[in-house]
Amino acid sequence: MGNYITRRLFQMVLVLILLSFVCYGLMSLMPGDPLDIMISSNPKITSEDIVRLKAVYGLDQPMYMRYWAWLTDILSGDFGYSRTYKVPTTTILVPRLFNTFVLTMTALILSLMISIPIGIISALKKGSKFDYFTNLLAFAGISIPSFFLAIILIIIFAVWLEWFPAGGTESVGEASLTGMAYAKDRIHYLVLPVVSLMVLQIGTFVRYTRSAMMEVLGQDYIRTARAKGIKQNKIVYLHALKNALIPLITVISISFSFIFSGAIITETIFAYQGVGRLVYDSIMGNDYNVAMIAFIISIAMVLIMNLVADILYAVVDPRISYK
Amino acid sequence: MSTEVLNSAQMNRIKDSKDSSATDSKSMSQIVFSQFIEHKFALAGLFTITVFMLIGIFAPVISGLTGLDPNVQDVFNRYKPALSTISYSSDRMDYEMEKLSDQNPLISDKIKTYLQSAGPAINSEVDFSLSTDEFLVDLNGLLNEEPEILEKFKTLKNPEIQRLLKLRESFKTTHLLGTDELGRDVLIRLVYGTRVSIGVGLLVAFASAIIGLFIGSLAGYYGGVIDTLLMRVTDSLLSLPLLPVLIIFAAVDLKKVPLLNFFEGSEQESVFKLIAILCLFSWMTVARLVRGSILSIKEQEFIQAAKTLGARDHIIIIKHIIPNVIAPLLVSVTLNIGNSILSEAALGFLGLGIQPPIPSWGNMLNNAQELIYRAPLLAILPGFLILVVVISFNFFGDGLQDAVDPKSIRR
Repeated sequence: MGNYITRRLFQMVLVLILLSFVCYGLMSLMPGDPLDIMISSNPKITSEDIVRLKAVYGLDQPMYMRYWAWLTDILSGDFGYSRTYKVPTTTILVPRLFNTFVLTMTALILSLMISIPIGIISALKKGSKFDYFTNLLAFAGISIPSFFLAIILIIIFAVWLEWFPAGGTESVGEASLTGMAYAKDRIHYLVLPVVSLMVLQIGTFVRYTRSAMMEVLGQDYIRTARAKGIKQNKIVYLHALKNALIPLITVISISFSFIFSGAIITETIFAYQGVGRLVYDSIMGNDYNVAMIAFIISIAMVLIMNLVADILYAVVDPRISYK
Repeated sequence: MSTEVLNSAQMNRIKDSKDSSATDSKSMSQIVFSQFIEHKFALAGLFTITVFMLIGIFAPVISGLTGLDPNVQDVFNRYKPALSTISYSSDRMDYEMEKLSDQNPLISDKIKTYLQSAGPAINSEVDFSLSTDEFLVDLNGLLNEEPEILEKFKTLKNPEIQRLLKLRESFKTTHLLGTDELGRDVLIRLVYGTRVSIGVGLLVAFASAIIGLFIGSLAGYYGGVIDTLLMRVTDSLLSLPLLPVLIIFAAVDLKKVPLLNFFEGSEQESVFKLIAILCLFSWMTVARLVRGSILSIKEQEFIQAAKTLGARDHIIIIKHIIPNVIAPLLVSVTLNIGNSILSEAALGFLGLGIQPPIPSWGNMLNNAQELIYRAPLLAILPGFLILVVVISFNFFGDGLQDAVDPKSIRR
């Protein structure tokens, strides 16, 4: 097991280094260039000045040299400055990471709490009207474009009913909020983004719970339990559910990357100050330092979550052993 | 509850055994077909997909019949509501008339001569003193103001006059779904968007199926180092969150890429770029599927027999292995089409997908959010079409999966 974790961690670091290299290369291929803004805002600049500036910033060096310089800086703890916000990258990144963590985890936990019971019921009532509608809604949830759902939510709940704000993270200008009032304010802003992220997950989770539950219910040991006269409720919730939830861990581990992808769209639409929106904004705004770090850290988070889920899988199911 | 389920299952089995005794010699494809049509949602999905594909294929015909062009802008008539009729501004009509007499200098004179001989009932208000250039412009203005004269003109059999009237008819356009932020007709843009969005979905799904098939067969058949290496790459790509990676790739400027800059500047540049990027990140599920199937198939006797007979590797893979993985592959391709349409839409929404003027459902939503108060229909319509088409592909794939899955086949 320890061996397995070490190997996975090593592999993860390798993926991250390769990915950061590719990402660094792609950033240099994006429209615009760190010097472009300086040059265009200064009419008196001469071509000698440009060459000198390029040398000062190391932009005359080949890509792999610049990448190496960047990587050594990162490893020594220097994350650089944001061009847009004029503050150290970490100052922006840390609260953003926290916001995204709150958003995605709330959505994940709530959607599991809703979809597992629904999946179980529709597996037990296979072929019923409830099962039929659940199936239809699950497909709708999987197929709906996240931004479309978000826009519909805004139209209904923010424009028509005015129950929730159309966007933002917290009320602006009311810094005095503390404790419960602060939490309440945050929750008020969280509702719509969380709902729009949840709908995307619920469909997948319901379908997996249902099929896992149905498979387990068809097994011999359930029949044995029935033959021994154990009550239906006890069979379902004590004997079947435990084993049906195991494959769900894999689904959750896969869904981390989906949730993060969804979070980019959701955060962009709801103007939620999370790391997904930061990735998008910094790429569009040529804020290279922030874009690189936000991108790498968010992917590292997804990969770590995957690893945790895989380890949990082995803990829950003793038949699985990683070599 | 449980006894009921059992009973209905037993009933089904009895019914099935009767069916199968009547039609004992069903071929595999017949079984799959009869299983597929039992899945109501899948059938509905297939129907919807067919309708949208026809709309996409016949987009130019629809454009021709309605006389609408997806790229014609009209800044004076932006955000018109659904079912509105718009006529050209008088400047635009004058311009069109001048264009007509410029292109056919004779037409103006011909009409003039014809009208002069037509009698006072028709030509009493026509100003014949005007020059050739101005005559048509003035005549058009007259026809706009006097509907009675227009009615009389309609009865005239002269081909030039009929041509003039036909041109006048094109000055009035009906917009079933209104117009967008540049005054373009929303309906015809949605029709062309169907073509682009479904086209991109199909192309990406098929191209990535071929890539996946190739990589999966290599890994599954040869095993060893090749397998480990290819599957590590596949797993790593699978574990990445798709959208941020797509954003980074889509933001690349093709001008700066040495090998690809020949695409740059062509109108379809953004389409090619998008298809290439989506292909790069959607072959992994197919590759894993193919590899898994091959691992189990290659140990079977018929492959050993083919090897003993001296068949070469590529013959074995293409002739003996691929036909056995084609069914699950089809399912995966179908589901992939839906996902590709969603990815295209997401990138289009963020402004990184297919670039205007080429309409796609994704880029029609690009600034939909800002317009949510002014023109909610602009945001709702493309999103709704995406939902309908993607759900259809997903149902279709689900039905196909049930139909080709040997475990669920009832004989």
